[in-house]
Amino acid sequence: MRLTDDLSADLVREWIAQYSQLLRAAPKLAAQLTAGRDDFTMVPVPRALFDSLAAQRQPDPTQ
Amino acid sequence: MVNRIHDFVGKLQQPSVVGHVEEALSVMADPRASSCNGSGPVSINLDLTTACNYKCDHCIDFEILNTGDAHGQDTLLESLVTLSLAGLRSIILIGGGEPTVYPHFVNIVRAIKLLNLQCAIVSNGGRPARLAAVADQLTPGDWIRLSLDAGTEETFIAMHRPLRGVTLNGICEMVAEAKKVNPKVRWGFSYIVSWPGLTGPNLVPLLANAEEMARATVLAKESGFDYISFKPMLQRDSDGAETIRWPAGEAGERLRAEIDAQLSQARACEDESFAVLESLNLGQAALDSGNRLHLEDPLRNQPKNCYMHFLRQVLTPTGLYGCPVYRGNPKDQLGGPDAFAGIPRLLATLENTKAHVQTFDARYECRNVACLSNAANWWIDSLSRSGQSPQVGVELGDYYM
Repeated sequence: MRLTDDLSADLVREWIAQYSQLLRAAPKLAAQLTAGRDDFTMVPVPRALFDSLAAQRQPDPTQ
Repeated sequence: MVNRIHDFVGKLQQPSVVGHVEEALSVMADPRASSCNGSGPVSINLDLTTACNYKCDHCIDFEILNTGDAHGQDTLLESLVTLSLAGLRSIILIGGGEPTVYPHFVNIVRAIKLLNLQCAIVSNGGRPARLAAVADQLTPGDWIRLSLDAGTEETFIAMHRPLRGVTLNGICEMVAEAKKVNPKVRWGFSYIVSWPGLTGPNLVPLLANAEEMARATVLAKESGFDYISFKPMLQRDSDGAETIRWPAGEAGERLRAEIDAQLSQARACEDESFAVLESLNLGQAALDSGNRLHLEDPLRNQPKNCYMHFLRQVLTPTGLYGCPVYRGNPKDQLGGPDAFAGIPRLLATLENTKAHVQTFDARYECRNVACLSNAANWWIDSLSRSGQSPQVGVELGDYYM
C-alpha cells in the first residue's frame, strides 16, 4: 500500500482490495451476501471513511 | 467487584461482539474445522515501535526496548484495513516502546479513526506535541492514559529518567490545555504502586511511591484528568510471565494498611467528573499477604484453554502475541509483525491461533499470573463444556480488551 497525502482515498482502495479477497477466501460470508436477489450489494465501508470521502468531494461553495 | 474497564464478560456479551465468542467456541469445538470464517480479534494492543525516550527503573519491557524494530507504515496500514474487515473494533496504542516516538504516529491514529475503530493511547506523556496533534481526531469512547506514577517532581524524575526538559507539571499542564481543545477525550493518570524490596530489571532497588498516591490524585484532578488508576508493580518471573511480588508477613500487612489509607484519601477527591480506579490485581496482590497459596487465588487459577487469544491480541514490531503478559515472548507468539497484512496472512494467522490455543496450557503456563481475563476465560470455558450459546447482553460501546 502506497501512502500519499490522501490517506482516506488510499484506505478506501485498500479496503476494497482486501474486501474482495476476503469474500473469495470466506465462502460462508460470500454466500450470506449473495443470498438476496438484489441487483446491488451493500459493502460495509466504515462510516468515518465514507464521510471523509464525501466531504472531500463537496463542491467548493466559493467557486 | 469487577471494574467496568476489566469487565471483559460484559464487553464480550455485547450484541455486536458476541458473534466473535460464538466463532471461537465453534472453532474449538471441531479441531479439524477450518478457521476460515473471516473473524479476527475484537481488540488489539498495538506496539508501534520498541523505541522509548525514557529509562524507567521499573520497566517490565526493558529487555525488548530500543531494539531498532518498528512497523513499516504501509504494512501497518494494510494490517489495519484487514483487521477492520475481520471485525476489529478497538486498538490500544501501547508498548514495549513509546507510541508517540514512532515517526508516523499521527498518520496511524488518523487511519484508525478513518476506519471507525475505537482508539486508546497509553503514553509516557514525554512528547506532548504529538499527543496534542491527535487529540482533535479522537471521538467519544477514545481515551489517552499517561503513565506518570508519581505525586512529586522528584519521584517522577527518579522513576522515569526522562529526557531533559520533561516534567510532571509540564505534562499535566499539556493535559489541561488538550482537554479544552477536545473535552470528549477521556484522560487517565496511571499510577503503578511500588513498595520497598522490589528490584528493577538491572536488580537495582526500585523507588517506593505508595506514600504519594493521594498527592498524585489531587494533582490529577486539578490538571483536568478524568481519572487516576492504581495498579501494582509487576515483575517478570523465571518463565517470563508478569507477576506481583507482594511482601510476606508483617511487611505485607503494613503495605496494605498504607495503600488503604492512601486510597481512602484519594477517594475523597472523587466526584461526577473525576474517578479513582483500583486495578483488580492490586486488590488481588494484597490477598497474597495472607499467605494464601497461589493456586487458591482466583485470578491465578486458569482454565486449560485461553479463549481470549481469539479475541484480543498483541501486535508488535517483533511479532503477534496472544497476550500482553507474554509480549515479546516466543512461547506465546502467533505470527510475525505482518501477521495481518492482507487477507491471505489473516487466514493463516487464524489457523495458527487455533492451533496455538489447542496446545497452550494456560493452567500451567499462567499459574503465576494474576490474569485480568480470568473471568472471561472461565465464562467461555463453561459455555464450551455445556454447549450453550453465550448470553447476549447490552451494547456498552466499549470494545477495549
